[in-house]
Amino acid sequence: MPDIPPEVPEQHDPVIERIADSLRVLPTVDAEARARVLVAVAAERERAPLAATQRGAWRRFTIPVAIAAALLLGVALRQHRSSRGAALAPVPVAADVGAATALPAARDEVVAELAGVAVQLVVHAPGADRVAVVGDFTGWDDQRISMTRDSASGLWSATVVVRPGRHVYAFVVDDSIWMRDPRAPVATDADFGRPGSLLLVGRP
Amino acid sequence: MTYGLRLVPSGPDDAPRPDPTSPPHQLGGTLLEARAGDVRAFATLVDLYYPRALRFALHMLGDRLDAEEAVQDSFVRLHRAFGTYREEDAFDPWFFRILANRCRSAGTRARNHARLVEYGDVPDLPDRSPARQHDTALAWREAIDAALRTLPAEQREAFLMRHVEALSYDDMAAATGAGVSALKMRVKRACDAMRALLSDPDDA
Amino acid sequence: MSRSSRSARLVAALALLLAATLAAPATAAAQHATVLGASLADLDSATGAALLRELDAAVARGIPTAPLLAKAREGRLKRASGPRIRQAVTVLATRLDSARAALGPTATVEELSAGADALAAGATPDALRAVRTVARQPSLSVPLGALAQLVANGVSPRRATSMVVDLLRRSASSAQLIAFGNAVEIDVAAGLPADESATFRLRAASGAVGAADAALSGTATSTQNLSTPRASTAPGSPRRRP
Repeated sequence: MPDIPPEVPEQHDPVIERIADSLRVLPTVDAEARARVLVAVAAERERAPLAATQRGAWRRFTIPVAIAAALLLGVALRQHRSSRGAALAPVPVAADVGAATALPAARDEVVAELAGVAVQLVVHAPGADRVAVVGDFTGWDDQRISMTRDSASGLWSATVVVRPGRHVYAFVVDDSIWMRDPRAPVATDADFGRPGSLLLVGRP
Repeated sequence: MTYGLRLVPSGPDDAPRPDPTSPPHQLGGTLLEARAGDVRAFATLVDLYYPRALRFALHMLGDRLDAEEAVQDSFVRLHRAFGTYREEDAFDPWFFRILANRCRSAGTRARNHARLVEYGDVPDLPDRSPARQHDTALAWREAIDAALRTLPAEQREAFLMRHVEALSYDDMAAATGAGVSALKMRVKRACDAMRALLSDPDDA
Repeated sequence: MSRSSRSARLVAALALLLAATLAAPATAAAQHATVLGASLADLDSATGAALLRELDAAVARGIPTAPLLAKAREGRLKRASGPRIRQAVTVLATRLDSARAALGPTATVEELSAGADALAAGATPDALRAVRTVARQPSLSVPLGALAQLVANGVSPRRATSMVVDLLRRSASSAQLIAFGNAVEIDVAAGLPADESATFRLRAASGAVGAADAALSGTATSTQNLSTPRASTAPGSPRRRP
């Protein structure tokens, strides 16, 4: 597509410019909403297989290129998958660079967006390399909130921003150990039998 | 595979992310692959266009849920219609035509709730707290949103396409089906109305 | 067609067949990863496929997929088996359906999730409908959350429903409802019987609501402050750095 040079605006209007500047700010994107888009498209894909014109697009590639690409892709994907599989056996792998990660982990902006109350969580885990906070407020994603270590005390801490109300959370140590907060009440888990910790937050 | 310490915020996809604030210039390959049915390429396309689409839909519809739904619908329809997209056409007007259509349909469905109240919000008197009164940037954004609301949908749409999405009048014509002079008139009327509502009386 | 191009096409066809065989299961995994996200990318293919179908069906029925994805992630994180994850997701989807039927098509994701929680705890769809009828706040997720809390902590569903409805009729704020539910949960964790706690806390909450009404109408009396327990030794209060 040729580059279309930007048109000169009808007139330079500072009020309109200010308004437009403000309107141009991109909204924070809810990762779940974006995931829903891909799910909806996947559903659509299953309902309506590739149209003929789209299939035609493949045929435009020369055959040797297609063979080479398919072979390489097939072999590479297979190898990749089996190596991930082996590593997975004892330890849940939370994410993998190079896999088809169309949904990057939500960043702390998502947590901040909840407009809630800041709560500091602290746990003593001196031997750990990594401690994450997981809970309903992270969508049970262990990539969202990593705790910070204080080497002297062996304490890990994180400040989470949660809406007032009832929350369940836990710590994941070194991606492999599920740990309740020893100082919080136990929250039962009817679905998976792995109780977490209860966090009750009132409105300040 | 363990992670060790990771800096926060971070995501599992370490590939450089496209800048979502500027129109993508190197879409070609991604578009072709997505059109040919490549799932990952389509996901990249969603990544590239979701923030802008959400921005447009939010300004058109004023409601987060409605906007997310309109954006989701747009991507599904895009996928459905992808076979008809020709690579010599510009993608932006084609995409915005779908999105603008979805926003027009959504706008005609009345919603009972004036705004979405998040869990834990005290729904009464959100605007009277002293802190919010002092947030002039917030007040300005809210004034703009209110002013946008007063515009007829056609003018709002034309204003956003021209001044926020920076589409040329030709692209806007392709996206709306209206003629260039009609569009210029809509933009002018929108600017006049916005200026009248939002000018600071101290402005020269 | 020349012989060389015919054999080239034969080679091409065989090669593509070979590649397809090699790639097929991996491509399915790649597709799962793309749709479900990185944290669910390593689900076994049967569970991943079942989850995709469940999400697909949810989209078709118009119920939100975010809670289903979160439930699947929870199961994966807790290293639950594939069948267990599928069951939890299916059960949640059913509850979201019921919540939707009770709360109406304009219910938000938050409200549906809160409704599903209440149903999971033991509340009835009628209770959800009652809350919907009486509540004046734009969002039902707070009163539904309070209902879920009461029932989950042992207050009978009927009593819990009538308590929440009563507070709603008196225009209790979200903050008051949250405080009520949290207080009962803390009491029960400390060993108090659920019904006793609920009765006591309801009286306090009603008093606070009544006082607020009186203040608005100009006949203010003493206001009983129903706020979250602040003592740092009480379980469930915000953490302090030791």
